[in-house]
Amino acid sequence: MTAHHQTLLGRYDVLDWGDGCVIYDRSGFLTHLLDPATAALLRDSLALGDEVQAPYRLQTLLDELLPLTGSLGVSP
Amino acid sequence: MELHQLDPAIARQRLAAGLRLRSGPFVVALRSDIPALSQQVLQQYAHHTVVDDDGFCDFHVHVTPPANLRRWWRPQARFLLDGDEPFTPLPLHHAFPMLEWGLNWCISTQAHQYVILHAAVLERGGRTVVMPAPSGSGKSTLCAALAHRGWRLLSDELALLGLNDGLLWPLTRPISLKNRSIGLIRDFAPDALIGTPVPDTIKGAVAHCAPPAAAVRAAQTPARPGWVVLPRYTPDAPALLSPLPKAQAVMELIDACFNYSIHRHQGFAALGRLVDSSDCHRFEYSQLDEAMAIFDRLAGTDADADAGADAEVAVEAEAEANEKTRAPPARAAGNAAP
Repeated sequence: MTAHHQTLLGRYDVLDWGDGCVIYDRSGFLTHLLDPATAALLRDSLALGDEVQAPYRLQTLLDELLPLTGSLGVSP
Repeated sequence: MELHQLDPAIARQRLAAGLRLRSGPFVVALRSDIPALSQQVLQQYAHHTVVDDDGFCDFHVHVTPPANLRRWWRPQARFLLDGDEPFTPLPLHHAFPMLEWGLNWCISTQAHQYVILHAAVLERGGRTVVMPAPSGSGKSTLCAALAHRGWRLLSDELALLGLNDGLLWPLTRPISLKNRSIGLIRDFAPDALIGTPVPDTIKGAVAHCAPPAAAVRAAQTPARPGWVVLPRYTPDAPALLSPLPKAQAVMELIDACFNYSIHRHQGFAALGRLVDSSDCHRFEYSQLDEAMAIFDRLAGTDADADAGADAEVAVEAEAEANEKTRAPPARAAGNAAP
């Protein structure tokens, strides 16, 4: 299964495998794992065309969906 | 010329003055006048290529006793990179493990042309298995066993993922065995060349297992991704391979990545491509023979696509059936420390 890859609002890189997705936030430098249910909410928003027609609504949704903490990798 | 082809006395002389060895994509100028360390280097790096003194060198490393009283009283070893000393000295008999840990540090802090993961990498049939795991998970034990059962060793400790080509690049160096795994591998692979155990290190007793000669000689040949496997040693557990959702696999790789914060969205994309190209699993084991059988089945799936697909389904179905009676392992939260 190959991931669906898209960049949202010029800030969020999304890799979606259907059974879960990961999002890299280029501004916060954090990576987040969305569980299938949360990923479905994001998909619904995108299906409505929010990225083009209602970017403010999409940004608000992402602010709600993405936790304040995420993965940064490790320090050697 | 390989190191073992040098006369040992000449090799020791050159080591005392600065011996250049090729290790994967890097050239290391190694200098040491510690006899026990020289002996270990000659054994563990026997099949590495000796490089001429006039070419480019990535790391200039010097392992030496201090110039003060600690040269004689409770003697110590110091690790220097380009004359700087990034670590506190260790007891002299820790010199070889210190060299190995120091080289890992040199590469993971400087070789940012790669995405670098704390992971073992082996190859079979042109495809690699990447095994990220924290210390104590049985990664090195499994890696040493596979390296002596038909899998080509690319690295025990650091996976080098090409940022642009998506290939795994070899860094074929000694495998670090700890505590009980030293005896386990001695029994499992009697032909393995294992150095004298060094007691009382911060990781307990440590002994290094020399990489097989064929793997060292193939250390300029990268390989494409095939599998991502998260191993975990669990006493008395039957070998169990269970599917790992790809999104979770990406997070596990990020948690094992040394320079993710440097590569940012390019690192995210590279790890996403690695997972996209791989079958992802968790793997629990206690017996090496069982583990070898499961890995052979994994590799076999690539050799014959149709039969392989069936075999893989069988492995996964078996895992799912087993999982019904066992609690799924919890996902590690936050950053994993290697």
